Amino acid sequence: MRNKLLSSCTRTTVLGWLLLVASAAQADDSAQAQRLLTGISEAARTTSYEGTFIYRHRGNLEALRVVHKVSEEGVRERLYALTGPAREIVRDNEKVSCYLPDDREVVIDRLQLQNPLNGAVPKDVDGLLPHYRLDLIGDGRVAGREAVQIGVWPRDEYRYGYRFWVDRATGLLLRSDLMSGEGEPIEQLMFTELLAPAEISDAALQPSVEGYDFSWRRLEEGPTATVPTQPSAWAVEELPAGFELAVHEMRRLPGSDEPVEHLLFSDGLTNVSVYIEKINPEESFSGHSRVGAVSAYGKAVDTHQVTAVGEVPQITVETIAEAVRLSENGSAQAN
Amino acid sequence: MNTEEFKEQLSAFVDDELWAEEQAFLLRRLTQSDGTREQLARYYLISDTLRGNLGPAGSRGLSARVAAALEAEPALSGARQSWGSRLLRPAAGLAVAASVAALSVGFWTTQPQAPATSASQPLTAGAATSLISPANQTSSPTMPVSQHWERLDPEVQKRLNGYLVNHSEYSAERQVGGVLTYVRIAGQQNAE
Repeated sequence: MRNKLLSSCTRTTVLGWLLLVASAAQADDSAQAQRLLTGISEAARTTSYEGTFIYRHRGNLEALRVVHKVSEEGVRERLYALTGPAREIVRDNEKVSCYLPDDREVVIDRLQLQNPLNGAVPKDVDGLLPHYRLDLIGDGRVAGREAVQIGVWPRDEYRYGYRFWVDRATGLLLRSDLMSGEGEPIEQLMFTELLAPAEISDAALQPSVEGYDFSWRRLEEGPTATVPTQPSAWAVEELPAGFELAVHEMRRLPGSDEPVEHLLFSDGLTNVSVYIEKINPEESFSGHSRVGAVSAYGKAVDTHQVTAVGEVPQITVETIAEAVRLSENGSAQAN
Repeated sequence: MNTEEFKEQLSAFVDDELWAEEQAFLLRRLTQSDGTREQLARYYLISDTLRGNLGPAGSRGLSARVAAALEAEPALSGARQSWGSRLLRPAAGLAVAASVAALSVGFWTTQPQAPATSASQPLTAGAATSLISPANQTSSPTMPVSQHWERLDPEVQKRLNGYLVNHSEYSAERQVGGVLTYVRIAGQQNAE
């Protein structure tokens, strides 16, 4: 009897220790995953690289090449399609130029230098933990390079999950899978070749499209975003857990005669933008749409169009758009 | 690019209002077309005349300026130019997404409009974050019910495409070293 009791105690103790060790290991894995996640953006800011990757979403498969140069002048990048129309995107610290041969156009868009999210990828990983679970999945291999695979799993239905493969040598992201709630990949990006040379020539950043007869479009002179000068007619309530207002500004967008009110909500990893603009009621629209992993939802409120877009499930853009409403005194002000 | 746009581009070049990238393309075109070079020479002549810069030897400096500009083509690639005075035409700035064409935002489901309520807190400039209601009171929302699909009006598409491009600016730095957002623009030729 006594032996049985001792044996039972021993088993309990051993089990307790095992659970403790497992729990500690899990915490350790999560911490390592956090470090890798934080390191991805840091690597992109400090490492020059070039490579070929494939982009897959909803049955479409495209091949693209990227040249990413980090120098004293900052980060410059050239991205061009190897399949389909020879589209190229070249960006530097102040603008992004899109060469679109299928439309015979070049679009130059000035970047928002004051973008508060620049380089914050994600700044506070701990802040993600209430809404995402981080896992160290294990070793992997992508583009012939040794990688570590980490998982970022949402804790609710308002965001997508991610699987990342991080290059052991450079910390760069080698593969990214955006996962649905059902565990199916929605959007995948994977390098098939990646080099991190010490030097990348400026010539490699020059667009190759001829573009002799392209039209050139660019935004007008002057700031395209300003802080609102008066209280907004709009209010926000009942956001999905974890989403907070990160940016509130008036934007001048091409095609809009008047400034558009822009609200950007972020949970630290995922962003949703809400655009509010006065609109002819005949041009208003309501409902859902999607491009790649980006969902959009629109609704008309009085004489305004409210539209939410973001890399989130449909339910999230709808919930956030519906959370934006005219305030008590907003109706008269908005009209 | 139609003739008028090209003339406008040449004129902007003479007025030093082109971005370096655009200059490089124009100069490459000039190297391959005698007619275009002559057209540019005429623009310089007009410009010099209008500004009273034409010296006693007439267009003496004209050919030299054009030649110098052509010779300097490689060096132009890194030069910074002002945004210039040529403004984006209405809706033209959405061309990024327009290029993505129907793929970008192609279809919408019809959706009943939710009534606005008045029990919310107003946003205020610069301090909106603190006025947001707590984010943890989500009340089991339901997925939207698709009724039927219909193609968007082109104007609506343009507006949505503009939102997508603008939103991308903020997401670019947060995903895959900035690549993924632009991949959606460059790599989606057959999307839905």
